[in-house]
Amino acid sequence: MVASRALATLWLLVASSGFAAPDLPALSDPSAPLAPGGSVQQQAPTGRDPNTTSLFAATALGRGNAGFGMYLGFPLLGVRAGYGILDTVDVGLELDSFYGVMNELRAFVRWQLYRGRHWTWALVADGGKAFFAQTAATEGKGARWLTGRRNWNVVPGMIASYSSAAPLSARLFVDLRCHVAFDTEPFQSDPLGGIPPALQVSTNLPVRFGVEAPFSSRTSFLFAFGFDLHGRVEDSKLMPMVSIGVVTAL
Amino acid sequence: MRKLVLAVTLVVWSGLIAGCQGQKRSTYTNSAGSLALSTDDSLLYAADADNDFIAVIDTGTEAKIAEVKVGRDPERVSVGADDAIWVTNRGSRSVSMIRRGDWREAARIAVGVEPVGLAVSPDDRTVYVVSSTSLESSDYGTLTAIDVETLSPAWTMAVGPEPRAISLIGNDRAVISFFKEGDLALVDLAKREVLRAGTDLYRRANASKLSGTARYGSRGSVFSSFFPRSGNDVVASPDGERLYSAVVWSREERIMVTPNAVTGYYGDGGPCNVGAIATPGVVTTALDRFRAVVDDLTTCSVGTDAADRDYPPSAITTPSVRRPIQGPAAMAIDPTGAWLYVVNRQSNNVAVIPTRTRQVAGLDFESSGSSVRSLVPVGSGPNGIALTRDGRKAYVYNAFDHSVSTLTSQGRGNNAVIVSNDREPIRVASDPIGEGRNAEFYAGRKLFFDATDSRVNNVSVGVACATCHPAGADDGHTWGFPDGPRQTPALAGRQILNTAPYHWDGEFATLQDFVDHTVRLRMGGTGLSPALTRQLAAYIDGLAPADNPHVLDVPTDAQRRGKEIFQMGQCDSCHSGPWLTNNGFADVGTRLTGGANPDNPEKLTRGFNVPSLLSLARTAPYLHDGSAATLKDRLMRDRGSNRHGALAEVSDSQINDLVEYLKTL
Repeated sequence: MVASRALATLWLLVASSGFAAPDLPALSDPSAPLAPGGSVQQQAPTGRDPNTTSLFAATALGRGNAGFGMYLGFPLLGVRAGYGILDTVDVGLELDSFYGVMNELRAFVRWQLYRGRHWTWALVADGGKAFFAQTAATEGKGARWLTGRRNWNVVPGMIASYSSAAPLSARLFVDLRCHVAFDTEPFQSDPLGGIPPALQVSTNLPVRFGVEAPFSSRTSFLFAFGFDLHGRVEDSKLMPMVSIGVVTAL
Repeated sequence: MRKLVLAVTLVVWSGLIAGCQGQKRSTYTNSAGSLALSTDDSLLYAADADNDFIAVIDTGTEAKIAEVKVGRDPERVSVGADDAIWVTNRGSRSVSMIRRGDWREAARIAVGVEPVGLAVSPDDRTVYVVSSTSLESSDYGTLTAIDVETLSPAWTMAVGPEPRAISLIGNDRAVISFFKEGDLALVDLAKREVLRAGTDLYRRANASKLSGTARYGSRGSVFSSFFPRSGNDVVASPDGERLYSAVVWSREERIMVTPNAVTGYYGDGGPCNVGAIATPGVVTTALDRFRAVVDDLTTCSVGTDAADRDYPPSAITTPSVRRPIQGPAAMAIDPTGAWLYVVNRQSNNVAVIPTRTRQVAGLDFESSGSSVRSLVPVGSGPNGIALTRDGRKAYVYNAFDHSVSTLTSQGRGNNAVIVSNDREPIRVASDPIGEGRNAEFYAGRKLFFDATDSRVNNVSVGVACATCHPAGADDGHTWGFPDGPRQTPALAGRQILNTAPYHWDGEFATLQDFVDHTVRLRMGGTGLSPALTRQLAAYIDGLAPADNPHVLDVPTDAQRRGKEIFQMGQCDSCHSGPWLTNNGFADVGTRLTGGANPDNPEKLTRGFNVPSLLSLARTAPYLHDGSAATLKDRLMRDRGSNRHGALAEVSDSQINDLVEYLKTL
């Protein structure tokens, strides 16, 4: 409930801010039909080019386009690079870090399922290997406890984003995931408590709210917040997150 | 396109990193000492040294189903991948092999003197045996490789003096612990050579003391260096990155003149400002550098950054002063490498210690000062442990009770406790009577070994007679007693009851006098009655001498010549009679008149009490202050003075002959 109120507040703030650029001219023909594949053929406005470079919202980069983003926050900082291999499908690499204590190199794929005039929907999946500075046996309330991540992680989910028709309008997004963590470092947390299986699988529920707020046709600010619900008893039950960053076209 | 190439490169790179991380190197074993489990955990094998057999126990029914006679004093047992059972017979210079289901000794293979350490290679083709000394000399021990197919020794190589335990690192390397020196050696099994002798343990553990940077105050008030002794066991972590070895940290600095009225002066301060002058420890060694990873024993007290370190505290510290920990005899590590189980023979318990952190559920080293997550009481004289492969059960062999304790866990996290079936252990035998052993002998043995008996010592000090006289032998240490430095004499095989008076300065006319002084003033015990002293005496008197490779059916020429020189040099004027002492006094010019801890002249007006020379070969170092590392060192030093034998005119080669003779005594 709190999160949804916060999202609504953010939504109103951003929608009423300069990021939406309400005074800019709209697309030349807002009523134009959708292009094949569900994407809107963005037509260059006479005044400013639209910003379509998204890495965290649902909008695909488009075939041949590349984007780069970086963010800083809690508990993670990271960089993400994506490339549009199809009009509606992007792939890329991302490096997440819990400030050096945990570093995860992950690949991602984003498939834009639907793009309407305001709403865009995409299926996403991240996956990668995390490298921890400490072994699982050594670490107490450390990177694993905070992030819920383990040696290998797969994070499928769905993103919904909303933007107005303006070329530099903000892309508000909600990112819902299911984080499946694969622990390949079993250890006995209690002496004589039994040997855990060689592979332990746990699930978490990451929820993100955020906005990519363009300030030019190539670059946007990123603001995101949310939380992770952790399913493993050894981990924190709920971990809030917040980050700021930038996304830009390459 | 370049972007795609970059992406592919990154993915491949990350995959390589992931692949490299998974390599495992050590040869994991789930047992140590006198106990081992079959490969399916259904059978337990216990080596009973008193009865010279291996007890076979069905873990399902917890009943003994067979006993297999082996050689004398079976000490360690190990099981190969093919379920063959291997046993070192310490008293028979041999190794026994038993095939599962065929409950008789299938083979006995001759090895070195007092074989103790034992390990089966992961490929199951070789069994490695560590012997305390070679068949030729007591100066060094040996490592013997036994070919499993031919059941015969494939090769033997010399290692350092008095080796004790072995841990394999894959098929091609081994680590050996040394009993008196307390350090480790790394051996290349393919090249049959010692790659590294020592881990720089002593220097690293005493760095601030040796460099003069140690400070008094909150970072430790004991201003002493400590030497690692009693290196009974070594175990490798499952990932092969680290080794854990058991030691007893033995104080080198002078013990205070004014003994504590409660604890006795053996409680005068141990490493890290905890424990006694002899405190049990766990030494971590990084295998890649073969370097000890230890606390600085002067500055590692609670309140420093010690809590953040990722290895166990180097001194084992009890969670309760009423429950001492002493005499680490065997160690096993769980398959995940998270917990170390230290079997403490002199405190009759098992200390469970986290290996990678000092703060886990149920243990906060910073606040409690204890390194032990669980301290589990077991039976008397435990010397072996085996962990089940599911990580849910541990068995401990109680050598003096001839029983097996079963340890299990209850609860989770902070509430997890380990309990033992201590009230109903699995009994496999009883004390054998005969050959000089009777009920008094066994009762005396328990007194000798028990650091938990308040009659013998103050339990907050937690030292037993066996702490410095392990199994009646000596620990190789020279202690800074208030009257001067005193090297621990061996007791076994020396006919002690016939060699009064006692102590280097002969201040005690009877054993009862000696016991009264030592137990009350030194160890802080309430004292032993004459009846209990008789039990203690019965044990000491019944101790067999250490096996000696120099004792031959037919003496060598050098030994014969040496005997003549012994008489010619008038050594037998003091070292005379069947016990090789006239029980008198002599000033042989060894009294220390200066230095940090000079001998007290008031106690030495008659000189030193002439020690027995029985069992001399394996009791180095020599002299009251341990200043002679070898017998030859002793004889060559100051021999022109003729104060310690008339040796001024004896040639160097005759000295060599004399040494050969002395080693036969």
